[in-house]
Amino acid sequence: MGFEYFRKEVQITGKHSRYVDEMWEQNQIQNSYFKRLVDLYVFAPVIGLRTRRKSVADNSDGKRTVPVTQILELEKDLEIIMQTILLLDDTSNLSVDQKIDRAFRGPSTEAEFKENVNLFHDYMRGGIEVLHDCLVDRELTIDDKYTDRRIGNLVALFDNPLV
Amino acid sequence: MKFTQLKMVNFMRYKGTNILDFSCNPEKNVTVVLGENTAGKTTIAQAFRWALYGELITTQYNDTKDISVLNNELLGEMGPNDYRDVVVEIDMEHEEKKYHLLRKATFSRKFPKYIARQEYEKLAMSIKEKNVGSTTLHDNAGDINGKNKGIVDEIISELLPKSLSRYFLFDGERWSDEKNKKTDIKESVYAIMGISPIKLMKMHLNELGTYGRNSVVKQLKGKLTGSGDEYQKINENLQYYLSKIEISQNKISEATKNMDYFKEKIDESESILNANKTIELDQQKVKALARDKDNNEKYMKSYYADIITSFSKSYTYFAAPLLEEVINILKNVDLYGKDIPNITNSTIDYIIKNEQCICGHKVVKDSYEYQVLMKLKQVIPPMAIGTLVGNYQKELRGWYAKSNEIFQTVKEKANLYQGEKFSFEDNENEIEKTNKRIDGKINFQQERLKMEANKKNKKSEEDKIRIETNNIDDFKNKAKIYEDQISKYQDKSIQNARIEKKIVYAEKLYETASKIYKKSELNILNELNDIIKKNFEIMFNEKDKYAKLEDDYEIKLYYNRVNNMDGYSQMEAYGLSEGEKIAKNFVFIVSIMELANIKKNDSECVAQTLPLVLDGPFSKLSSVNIELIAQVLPKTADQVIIFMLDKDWEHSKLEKYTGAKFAVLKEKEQNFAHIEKIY
Repeated sequence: MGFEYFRKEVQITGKHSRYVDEMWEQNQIQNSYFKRLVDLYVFAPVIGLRTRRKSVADNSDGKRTVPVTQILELEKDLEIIMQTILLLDDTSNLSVDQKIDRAFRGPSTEAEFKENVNLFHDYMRGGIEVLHDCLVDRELTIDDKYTDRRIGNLVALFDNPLV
Repeated sequence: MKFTQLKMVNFMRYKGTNILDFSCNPEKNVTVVLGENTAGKTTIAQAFRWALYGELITTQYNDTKDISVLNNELLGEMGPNDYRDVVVEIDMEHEEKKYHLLRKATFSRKFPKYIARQEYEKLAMSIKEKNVGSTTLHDNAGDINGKNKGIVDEIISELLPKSLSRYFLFDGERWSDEKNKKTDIKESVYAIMGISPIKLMKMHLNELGTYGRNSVVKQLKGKLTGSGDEYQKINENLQYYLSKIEISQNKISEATKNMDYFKEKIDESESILNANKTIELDQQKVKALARDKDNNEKYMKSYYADIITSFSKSYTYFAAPLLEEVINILKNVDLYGKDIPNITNSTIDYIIKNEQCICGHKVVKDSYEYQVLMKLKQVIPPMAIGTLVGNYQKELRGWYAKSNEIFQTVKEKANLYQGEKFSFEDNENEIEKTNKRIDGKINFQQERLKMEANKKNKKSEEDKIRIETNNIDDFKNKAKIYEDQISKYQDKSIQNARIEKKIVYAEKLYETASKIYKKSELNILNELNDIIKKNFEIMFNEKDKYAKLEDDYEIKLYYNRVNNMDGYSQMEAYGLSEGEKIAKNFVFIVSIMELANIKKNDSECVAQTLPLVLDGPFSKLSSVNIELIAQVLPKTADQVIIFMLDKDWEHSKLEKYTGAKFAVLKEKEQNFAHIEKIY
């Protein structure tokens, strides 16, 4: 039997859910950096991987749920990101062949499946932290061309070579 | 009349006691006080004005409440319930008498508000007869019985009438002051030239009161007796019309008062409404700005939503650089070697189903061959792995390709957002600024109604005045008829004859006084004009223009004719420079003084000679003009007290006329000035 990623809702907990709240408010695009929660969910692991930042789940108070309907909409892109993570992540000391197998053959056991999902979410949480640093905590500098902090920080993110 | 000393104690800029002894030497009649700008020269002129008239020139201050005659430093040092005095004393000499004037104000900070303010003011004067040596003391508050209240004010107004202060006390803005009423100017010139007494005499003889009824002539005529019915009738008629004239006159003066009152109210309303015109405009402006601001906000929101929508999809942009790493990792891997060519899951399913391999071997369930095939099935994808990786890479390349486009969209919208934000902020600032100007509490409509009502009221008062003026003319004509008639019916008594004689005498006197007055009026104007013309030439070395005093005592500048063929008889010079305005007024003042000196010994008039106190008259004049003017001053007035800048002193070349010289000094770290005598 095959294991398929991105078929379930996802929960973001603890401090990461609090960070999420500072970057996204349901149906309030004017108070958000992302249109939907799933946009943040798909965005964050890319940033996590780019910065090689992983973060384990924090189980303190707070919970945000990414609905499965939204996840299914972006399933294809999420798969690509998952494959990229499985291909580029160096934390498991795998050979290139093993990485390719992991990325493209799919998990053959429940344990392998869970391990891969966790890896994705570790990068996702790491990405949330980086995004929070760059979008919420960052102060505008003299080099920013925009006087609105949100806009300035968004554009600065594009120009950030570390990301 | 000469000033001998000025003493200031804690007056305005001057902390402690400062004394100025003025030169009274006829050969060296100039006293000069030198000082830099803002050092405190004008304060000395203020001291004169305050001591004499209890007032200050306030036009140079933005808020009259800020002015205090008490030195500010002392004011600041005052504790609760403290008292401080400010005193100015002036010594003067006039016709064998020595006058000592003292004005003192006491300030305190009192319970419950502890705001420092003036509590008392004292004005006193002592007069010493030079020969006799006896001294008389006067207190403006009057004596114990409340008699002689205001006596010092009266003495001052005899010596140095406030109405004449503009001709001897030049403090600040007077030089270019255009607000003076022409009638005031004329009256003060007459007073200086000494023809005012003749005017009073003329009035007293035949003009005082309504239709001259309080005058000597009319009073005498009233004493003439008559008899008989006809006399009674005529006299009754005469008295009737005289009383009618008086009634009309009273009505006019009442209506004039009302008219002035309504005019004042109209002016008030107008100034409110004029101010509100801009308020109305401002309110419209605020509305328009608010609309613009709302639009800015709408656009900003819309751009922001666009930005967020684009940004939300921009994970592809951020993932794009990962493609390079992916390519790097995959480039040395033979993906196709990982697959058994053309073998897929369905191939294995087919072999198991037939229980025979393509090589002919039997494949029995749970046999070794079966297990190898099942293991193989686990790693053989439904699709070839090379295809899968190829598809993946293709997808990632797609992300890479469109990543720049996303960034461009975000940046473009961000720029639009910024533009709107700037407009938004500009509009917001402008609204705030404009709102500050607006006093929304004023009810324009009510104010306008009020003004319209007052305009109607004013018009009705004007009508009353016109009607009563016509009435008076009518009544006077009728009264004149009865006056002429009544003489026929008067008693031929000795007493009446005596009165008649007095009347003739008074009328003759009146005639003479009127003649002198008329002649003097004309002479003064002509003589003054000659002197003005001469002085303007001397003092300003001016060839293109000349100064002329009009009949209404307004001094104007005219262009000299280029040649006699010139068609213009008189061409007035408008748009005078500040220097020219000062020049014009300077010439006027100096000329008046000069004429008064000439008239001093006139048999018919008793002209007054006044000292000249001048504050900073030269600051706007050229060095050449300074000398020309300064040289005229000592010859014009008996005494000249002049405050000027150090830099103007040399240009003035007044040294040879100067009998006393002072400097106003102000240390940088100090907030107050003091006076030092140079000689």
